[in-house]
Amino acid sequence: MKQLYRVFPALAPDYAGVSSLLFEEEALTVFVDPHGCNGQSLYYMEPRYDAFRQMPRSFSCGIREKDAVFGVDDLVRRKVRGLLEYVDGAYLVLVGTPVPAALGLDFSSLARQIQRDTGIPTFGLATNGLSTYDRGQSLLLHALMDRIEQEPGVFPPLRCDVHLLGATTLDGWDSTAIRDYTALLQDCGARSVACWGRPDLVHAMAGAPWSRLNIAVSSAGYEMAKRLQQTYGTPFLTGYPVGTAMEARFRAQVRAALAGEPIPEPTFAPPESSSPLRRVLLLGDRWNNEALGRCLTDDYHVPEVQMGDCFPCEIPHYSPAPGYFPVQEEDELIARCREQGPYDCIVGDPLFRPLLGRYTRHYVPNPHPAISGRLYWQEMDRLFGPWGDRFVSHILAAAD
Amino acid sequence: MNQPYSLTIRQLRDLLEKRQTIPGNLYENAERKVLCYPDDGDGGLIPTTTPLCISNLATLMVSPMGCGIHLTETGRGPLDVGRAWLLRLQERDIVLGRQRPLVLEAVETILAQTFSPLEGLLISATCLDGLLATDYDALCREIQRRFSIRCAFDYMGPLLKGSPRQAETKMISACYGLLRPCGSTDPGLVNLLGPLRSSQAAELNTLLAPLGVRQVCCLADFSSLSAADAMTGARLNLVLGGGALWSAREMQRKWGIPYVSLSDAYDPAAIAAHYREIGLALCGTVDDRFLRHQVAQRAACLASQLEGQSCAVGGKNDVPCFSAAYTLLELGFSVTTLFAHHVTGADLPLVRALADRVPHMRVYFDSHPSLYRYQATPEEFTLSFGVPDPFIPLDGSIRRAPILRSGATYGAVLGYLDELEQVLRAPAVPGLLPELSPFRRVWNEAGCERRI
Repeated sequence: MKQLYRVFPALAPDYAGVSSLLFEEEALTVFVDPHGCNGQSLYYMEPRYDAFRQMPRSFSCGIREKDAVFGVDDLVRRKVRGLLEYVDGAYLVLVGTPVPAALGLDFSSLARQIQRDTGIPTFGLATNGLSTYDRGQSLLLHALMDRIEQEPGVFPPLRCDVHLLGATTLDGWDSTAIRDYTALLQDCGARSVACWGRPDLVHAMAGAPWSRLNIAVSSAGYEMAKRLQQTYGTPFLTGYPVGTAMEARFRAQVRAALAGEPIPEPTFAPPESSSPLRRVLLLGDRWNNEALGRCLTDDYHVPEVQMGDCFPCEIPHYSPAPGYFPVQEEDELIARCREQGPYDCIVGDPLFRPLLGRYTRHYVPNPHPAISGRLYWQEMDRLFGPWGDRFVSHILAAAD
Repeated sequence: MNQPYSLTIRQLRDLLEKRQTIPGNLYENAERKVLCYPDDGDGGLIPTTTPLCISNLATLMVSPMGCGIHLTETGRGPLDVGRAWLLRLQERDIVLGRQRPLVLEAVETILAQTFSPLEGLLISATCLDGLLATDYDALCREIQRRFSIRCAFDYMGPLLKGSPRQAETKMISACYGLLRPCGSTDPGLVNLLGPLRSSQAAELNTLLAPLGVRQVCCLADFSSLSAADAMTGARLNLVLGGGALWSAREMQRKWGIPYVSLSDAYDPAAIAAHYREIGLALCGTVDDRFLRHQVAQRAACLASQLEGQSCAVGGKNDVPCFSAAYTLLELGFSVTTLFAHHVTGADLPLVRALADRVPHMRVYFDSHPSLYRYQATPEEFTLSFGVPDPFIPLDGSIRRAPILRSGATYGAVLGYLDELEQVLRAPAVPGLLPELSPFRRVWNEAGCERRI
């Protein structure tokens, strides 16, 4: 039955995507919710919050039944005014959840009222908990960019050579991967690198016009990269390298892009021998799948790599990689695996194992924070650059 | 920015007596999440896990995508037994009111795909359906009629906090509401309502055996719902926790089972009082002298280690903070600070008692925004009983006592005092950081620095 799941997990919702982008920001994130949505975005979906190592400026309005009956607008305004007596922020984001969505709360209007009340730039996002995190991230990034373009100077710009778009914890980007990517880019000639999803998001976005190169690593990041290309002509690349060989090719592309030269088509070394694996299935999000998938096909010569995207969305002008398919329903995924399997190896979140373990002889766990949240985020292997070769060795072990 | 907002316990008492708004209280301000599952005052008992206590009971959560995360992370996760289902609502389902046809189809599918026969289904709705007042009562009756399985529903919805439909009450009452009359009485059986399974039952079994009680049981002690129906023929219900009180009243109304409410505090005097009440209900006397004496001795022994220790009590405990604070005072601790979560009029008696004993006890409100940068210092208190983690420094200067789980028996108190003594004897050490493998991802910069 569609929409019914026994094993298939609930995925990170849109408001968790917003929370993830704003986690380290000097911005106030105000959830218009009864408390649970804010709480689970932090506790279940945000590894930086684990053990309270970092405390975001994230708050809940604590709506109760009577508030829903009598009206939420005044409640939110009153609580925001009270909040500002104790905690400051460069801007304020109101985050929607199912309850205000059902009440038809006008977030844009409420944001304007609060901005008038407080003098602080305020954004209202009509997230509703019904979509996945990438939609929430997209909403936030577009709202911020719209304001930056309408009101130049509202946020001081951070001028960097390269902007990494969409590298959030929900996409699996941890501190080591960001450091590794930054080091790679600097080695290729970037004087400075800004990461959208880490501190100074809004300042980095304000500095976008000065970017020499953008790199999109998520759906929301790709949308922004296209937008910035259209607005400012900034070239962009997508993805990140997995494996040493792919990293070398990627470096060449980055160097060329930074030098303003045409980006070379990648060349691949001929295979020394045929791959021991014939067919591999990757499950996760499109961007991480494509990075790993390209490594498997281009460098390890696996003939067939299928990629199941658990967060399918319309991306205009983007052709998915060969083997791509959307995953939305548990029974559809089972039917596909029954039809296309067995696979030599399935690489995916451990939560899918009970569902798909029978369609492969080797299941390689590759947790995804937006799928399994806090259950496995301490068990995620590094994939960036040379670390990817080690991870791929686990996949190749399926042939043994 | 202003100082952290706080009151003295006496000021709090005055506000409660005058029925005035408490400015720092939970719903008066934007709130910050500082209490996390399972140590968030609910004892880890939530709608996503509760129904899984009986092997032929399944749970079906009906919710938007986001709310379903609770099910994935708790109701399945490490506990995954294949009986926790999620029905994901989309926008058109909510707009068109399609909950009924979707749930009926889901139940049919669940029954078809569950290999061992199910006897019952607990539907868990969320804030959205609470707001829309979706008629799950009627839906459950229809499911029972159509599929011949027992069906009840509850809400996992903070929106309903403070109302009769709130999770704490509805969840427990839904579980006990699945029971059917067994048709006979069992004078040897006494029920413990509230906890699904309980270590306190052992002491209750021992002390009540001379009064003809053969077994004190919880819901999860039974292998099936049919077997659990035996609870409807019990001689007495012992009620632990306010969430089960409604169920106890219903069981008294339907099956004539009297009940005794137990205090979940660690107060020996309160425990003695409820054993007296239990004795009266069972037409006898419970001989608790030995255990009461043991507790008094144990507490006296511990007193010497408490000299110089000032204590703070917070909301991580399963025991409410005012009750916990009062109990600790009775046991000889010096309690100087409280971190309240949500103060209501029902707390007034305990607040009065605390104000009489320690009028200058400081009361913070743990979710108040003013505590955003607050960190406690040893000058304020040296021993934490369930104070939320963001407020406790990692340098070990403030010790953390074990979490106060539900009390209610002398055994619980003795066990707790033993655990506490171990904490007090051990040297204070800074919070240990986990070892970092070079192959694993690291989620914050401090971890990166540490690995380098």
